[in-house]
Amino acid sequence: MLNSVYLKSLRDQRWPTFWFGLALVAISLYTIMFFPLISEATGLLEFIENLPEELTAMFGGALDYSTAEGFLSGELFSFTGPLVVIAYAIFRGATAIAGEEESHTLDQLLANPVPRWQILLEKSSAMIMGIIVLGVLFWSALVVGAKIAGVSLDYSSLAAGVVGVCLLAMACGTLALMLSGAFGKRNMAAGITGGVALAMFLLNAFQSLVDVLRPGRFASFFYYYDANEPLLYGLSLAHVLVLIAASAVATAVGAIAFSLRDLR
Amino acid sequence: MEHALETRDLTKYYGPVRGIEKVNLTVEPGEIFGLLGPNGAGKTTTIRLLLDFIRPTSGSAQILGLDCRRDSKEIRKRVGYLQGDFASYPDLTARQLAVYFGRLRGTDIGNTMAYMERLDLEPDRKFGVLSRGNRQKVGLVQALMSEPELLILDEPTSGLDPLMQHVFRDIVDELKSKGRTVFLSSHDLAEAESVCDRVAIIRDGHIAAVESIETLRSRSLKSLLIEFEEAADPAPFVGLPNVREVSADGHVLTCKVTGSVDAVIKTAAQRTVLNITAEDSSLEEIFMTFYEGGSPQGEDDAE
Repeated sequence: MLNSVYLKSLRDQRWPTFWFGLALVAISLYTIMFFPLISEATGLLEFIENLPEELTAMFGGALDYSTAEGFLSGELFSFTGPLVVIAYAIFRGATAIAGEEESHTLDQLLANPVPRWQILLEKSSAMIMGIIVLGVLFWSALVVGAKIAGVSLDYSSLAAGVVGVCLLAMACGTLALMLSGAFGKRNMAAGITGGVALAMFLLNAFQSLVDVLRPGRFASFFYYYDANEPLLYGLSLAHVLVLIAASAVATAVGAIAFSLRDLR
Repeated sequence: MEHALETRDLTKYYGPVRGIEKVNLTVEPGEIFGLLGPNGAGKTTTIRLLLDFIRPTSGSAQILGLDCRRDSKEIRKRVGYLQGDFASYPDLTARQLAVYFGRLRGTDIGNTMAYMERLDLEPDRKFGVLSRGNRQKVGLVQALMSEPELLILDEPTSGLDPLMQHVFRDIVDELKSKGRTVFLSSHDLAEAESVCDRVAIIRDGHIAAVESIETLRSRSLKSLLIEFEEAADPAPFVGLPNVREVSADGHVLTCKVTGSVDAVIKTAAQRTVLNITAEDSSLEEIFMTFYEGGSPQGEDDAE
């Protein structure tokens, strides 16, 4: 695991990946195994369907808890699931360059004949690999949970939902990585990205209610994530491409800024 | 023949704060060159500019004929570097660190193990649990492992015990005999004297002088403390060649001597001497004596 910066980074993130993965698996199992109780409680379903628009907006729009996909879309994929994966991505992205810089290991790393942009790209790849691992765990936990609970679940729809979460997390993670590369301050990178992600989430949640916010929805990663509700209707290629493009731009800007600046 | 290292008017400001200003240095291949100065003088700034970790405000630097900015990757392939206050990954052992950096450099770790043995470094203990001296050894091994043409070492013996400092000097001597170049920084005059061929004295971001070690030795400033059987009389010592700041207190005479102490000893020997102690002056005292204010001496050597 010490053959390259990429492999070393995978090694460095093995425990964070394990703990975030464990949290994701626990939440997934808990949620999916809760579904049979909900689907039998007809009174609750009616109640949910009649919830005010202001409230359901936070969960990605109108809620349909009569199917497992609808239930997961509202309960797990609208907030908690993405939150865990995004938190992981921001944490890893912010740590990537700034972590080494703050612990004073970056000078020694860069004393080797490896360009700065390459180090940032390898660390970015490791972060994305970590997100993919979380995605696989997420999907697997729900599949296993559905089997145990006897819930019928469309695995490919589930995969679309999980891929959506991963793309959203990748966009947030690369934003943190960009700031980490540009400024070399971990808390700053994580804090700003966390704030921006929250603002994007709220912007997307309320744009359907507040007319003045509506044109701003295109500035939110969350719009591209759930406008189409991938768990119910599959991924939109255009939205996928927007999230990938945003990640690529953030990584490129991060690599350039990192290459141009003084190390701290 | 190209210089091993050359800086031209190398200047670095951190915002309004001066790092170094118009530093001109030339180091020849095969030379052991010391950058000597007190903490905060600009030694680390100079070294980090050479390795392209920070960028000059103005001026330029070349290493092995290559531009420190444009050809940084090629330079780093051919240069070994030890950072000051060496820090590394706490969860990796010295051996694992060698493997990792070896892979990034494209070298195997054959030499590394030999150096670890020489420096008495346990290869399988994690970096995080090592003492400061042992961490420094790990850093030295990293710098030496690829047998680079030029070594840039920031305070290489800091934290090493006297025995290991001796081993370090032996290693530097070997490198010199193989024609390798070493550029090291130090705030310790005695250390620089013991390993370097030439030193540049840096102070407040400026090169105050570039001297050969012989010149520096001839200027070495000692505080002598002579205890007589009878009351000390300063009069015979005042005006002796190389002697300054003569004073007497009871039976004890103190004075400062540059270069040879012969005249002082012969004068003292005319009376009964109970004890003599000599202390090397600090770098700061030498600065104050030779380079204070005005135009620095020996600047021409720096060109």
